[in-house]
This record gives sequence, structure tokens and C-alpha cells, in this order.
Amino acid sequence: MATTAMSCSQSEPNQMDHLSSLPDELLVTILSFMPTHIAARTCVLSRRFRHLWKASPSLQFISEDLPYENFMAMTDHALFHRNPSHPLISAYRVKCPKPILWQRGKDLLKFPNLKHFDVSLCFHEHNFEAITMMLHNSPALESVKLVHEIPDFIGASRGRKRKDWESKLPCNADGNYPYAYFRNLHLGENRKEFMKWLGEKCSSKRHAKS
Amino acid sequence: MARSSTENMITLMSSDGEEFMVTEKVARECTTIRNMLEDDCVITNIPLPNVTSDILSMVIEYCMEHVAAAEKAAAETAEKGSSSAPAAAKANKDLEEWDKAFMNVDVYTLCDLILAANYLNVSGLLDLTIQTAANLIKGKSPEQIRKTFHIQNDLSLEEEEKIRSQTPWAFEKSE
Repeated sequence: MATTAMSCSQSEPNQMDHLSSLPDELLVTILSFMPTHIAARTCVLSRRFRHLWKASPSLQFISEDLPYENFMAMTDHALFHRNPSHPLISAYRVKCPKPILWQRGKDLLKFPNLKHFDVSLCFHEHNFEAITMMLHNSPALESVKLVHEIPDFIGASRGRKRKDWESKLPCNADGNYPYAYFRNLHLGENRKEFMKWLGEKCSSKRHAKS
Repeated sequence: MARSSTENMITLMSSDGEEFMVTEKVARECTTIRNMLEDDCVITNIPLPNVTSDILSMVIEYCMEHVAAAEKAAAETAEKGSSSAPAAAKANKDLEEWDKAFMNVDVYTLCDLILAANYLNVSGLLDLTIQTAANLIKGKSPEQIRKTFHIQNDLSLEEEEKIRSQTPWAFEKSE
């Protein structure tokens, strides 16, 4: 084939754009199989793709792949520019250095169709309350995975000692694990107890403070 | 196509009129067909006006392979009483390798397979094809993605610049 595919004004009959012939629903599914910052890249492919990524049922924020400022801009943009006619977030994989998800406008963090929630971050007292609120507002939850991570650079930049972060963590049955206190927590039947437990943890923290 | 006299055979007819005879078990891998069979169990000839013969033969190939793998695993379990973990892991890996080789197709075939898997509701094949398409997008610049899928860019330069400036984080070099 002598014609190059690069020249976008030319189209050979056998170089038809099959991808764009797929219905939106399937294109969105394809986009949901990749991290959000890569899915967002498709917005300049053509007019058809302009807003498709905002309808993806899955958000995957991966902090390691982006500089800090870009990461924050991405999470803000992706959360606040979602396609309102596709509000379902059925999978929600987050790996973030900071509780950005619930710092701004707590009202926005209601995902009634949220099924899977997977987050790695540093759970300190503040996050914990926010996460409880979020989980309470997600009645369709099927699985939750929370992994506690000590964020090196945030701790360092604010002059906090690692110990301070740890001391705010609730203990699990085995004592206070520095890197994880609950992992692979699958709700299901234990949902109620888990919620109760989370609630107690938060209120006891508040009491302890006052 | 292995024919067993004890099994019901179903004829699937592609959009271009070609007929494919498959066992009921293979046909049932397609949820759409399974539902038809459950609604009306005497049905033996199913026209599939949305699927061409070359794509349908691939879908059938996929279903046969996966049915055979499941049968083999079940037979081994029955023979030994319980399946041995290493053997099951190897079988899984073999099937994964097979899937991977099966996905060695051009983008047109891939898109047609996605449509067919969606229409026939073969969840394993749909996941596999969608994942393959996603992998083709990952790690590429917008220009490379357009080239891969022959996407016509109908945005003007100014429009594209404007869109890029709204989400600059999406166009960083990093993966």
C-alpha cells in the first residue's frame, strides 16, 4: 500500500475506521480497561472520541505514572467532568498519595452504583471518616480493598515524622502494622459489621481528640 | 468439528448464508444462543444475520477450544477424584497461550470479533478482545493510535490544541 495512513484526509476503502464503527457502549468498555490518564488521551483522536472517556464506568488513578501536579489535575478533572448520563462507576481503582478524592465537596462523593473500590493510600483519621461516609453512600458495593501506605514524600514535605502517621492509625487485631492494617477486605455478608466497625473507629477517634 | 452421535447438533447460519454445524455444548457458550435454546428447545437452525462466516468460524473456534479445555479439566478431576493444582495451572496457562495466539489478528478482524462477541454474548471472548484493543491503545501517542486503527481525525488543528490544553496531563510522555 503506497498511501500512508498518516495522511488523514485520504482514506482507502480497505483502511476503514473499524474502531469508530463500534457502538459507544463498547468503546467505553475498551476505555474502562486502561488507567484514566491513558483513556483520556483518546479525547483528541476525533470528534467521536472527544468525550467518550468521561463515560467510562471505571476510574483508575495511578499516581506512579504521573508527576504530582498532573496527578492532582487528572483526578480533579476526571471526577468533576464525568458524563452525567453515565454516572455509574462500577469499578474504582485508586492508588493515590493523598486523600484528594474526598477533600473537595463531600456531596460529590456519592457513587450509588459503585461496586468495586480499591484504594491504596495513607489512612489517617481524616481519611477514615471520609471513607466511611463514602462507603455508607455506596449501597451496591461488592468488594472493597484498602491498602494502607505510608506516603514518603508527603510526610517529608510537611515535616511530619512517620511515627505521627502511624499513631493515628487504628490497630488491627495483630497490632499496628505500619504498612497495612486491612487488606483484601471483601464485604458481602459482613458488610453491616464492617460499617459498624468503621463507624466506631471514627467516633472513638473523635472522642479521643476532644 | 468432532461429531458425537449422542449430542444435539445445532446449525448456525452466518449473514452470508454459510452453515456451521456445532454441538449444542459449543453453541451454548454463546449466551445469546443459550437463551434461544432455553426458550425453545426444539430449535436446531439459528440464523445469525449480524455475523459474517469468517468471524463466526473464529467465534466457534474459540468456543470449541474453551469447551474442550473445560471438558478436559472436568475429566481429570473425575479421574483423580480431585484436580491437582499444578496440572490445573498448566492447563490454564496453555489456554492463556492459546488465547494470546488467537488474538494475533489485524485491527479489522479484532473490531468485528468484538461486535460478534458482544452480539452473541460470549463473555470470555468479549473480555479477551476488549483487553486486546485496550492494549493496542496503551503506550501510544494519539497519532500512533490513529494510525493503528486508521481513525480519521476530523478535528481542526486549533480544536485539537484547545482540547489538549484542557487535559495536559493526558499527554505526558510517561506511560
